[in-house]
Amino acid sequence: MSEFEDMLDSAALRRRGQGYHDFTVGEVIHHHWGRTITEADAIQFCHLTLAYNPLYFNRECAKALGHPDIVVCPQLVFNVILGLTVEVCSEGLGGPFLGVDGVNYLEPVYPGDTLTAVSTTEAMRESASTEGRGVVTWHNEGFNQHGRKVIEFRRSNLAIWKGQMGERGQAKESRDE
Amino acid sequence: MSNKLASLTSHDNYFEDFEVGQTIRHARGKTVTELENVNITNMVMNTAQGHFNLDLMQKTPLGKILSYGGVNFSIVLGLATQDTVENALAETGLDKIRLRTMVFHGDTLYAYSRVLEKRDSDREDAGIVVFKHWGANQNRELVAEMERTALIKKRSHWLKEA
Repeated sequence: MSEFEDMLDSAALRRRGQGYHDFTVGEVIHHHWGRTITEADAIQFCHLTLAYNPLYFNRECAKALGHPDIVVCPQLVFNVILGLTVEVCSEGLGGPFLGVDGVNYLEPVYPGDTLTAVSTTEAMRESASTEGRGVVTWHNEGFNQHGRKVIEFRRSNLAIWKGQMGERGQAKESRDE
Repeated sequence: MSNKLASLTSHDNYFEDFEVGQTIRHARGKTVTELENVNITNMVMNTAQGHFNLDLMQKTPLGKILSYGGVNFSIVLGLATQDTVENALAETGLDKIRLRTMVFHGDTLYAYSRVLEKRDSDREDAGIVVFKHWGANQNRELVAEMERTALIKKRSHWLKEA
């Protein structure tokens, strides 16, 4: 066996993500990284999703409506805040992203703003019908660099911790992450 | 200024133009590819590798990369944007987002919208409209559904006929 193959077999896996039993109702999670939204992000997201309101890509229009710059398409704000929560909240659960409720866009986000995400674990429910399955619900909040809340929402994920844990897509109900 | 601004957007999607119950089939569809799913999933730092690791997914019964739900419903909202919120001063919220059918690269999404509710806002020049949006794939299956609330300009204030 070559030295390289030996390394492949002996390297310790550094796992990411956490399982159902790592959560506690009421805990507050301050998520990693943060993200400065650039103008390129805003324009690219907006155009790849065909979100055609010039407020999101025409600076003169946005200024005429009282903004200092283009407004970042709100669905990008949602996706960045959700993205920042994935490693801790859903990457390790092995089950699909079930839905989102109560998304409130509280303040406009502009290019150059830096967003951070906070989650509060709100509910955990083990499935009555299937052992080793449950649902976790979090209240998610996104803040800008001034500490002002720009978005909040509630999302739930199916968790699978028996048998099929960790293999994305193995759950019969699997729809999405 | 109003006339110049008004020339940037359609003239048939101001607050007054929407009627509760009105249902719209949007003109364009969009095929989901790596450009949307892998690009946006990575750009928003969604670290769930089922959306960008083909080797991993080929070892599961699905056998292929699954498009991220946030991308799927954002495309549905986008496909509906010009006809519903092109004249919005702000999109103020979303609700009841449900992901119903898996989406893979190569699937095509279409959008449909219905006006659920219209009401006045705290500003005279704009009102609030609540839309229901549905996303369908090329097989007429429901992919995602959601509601969107927006503050939309009133033509009485923003569309001064020349």
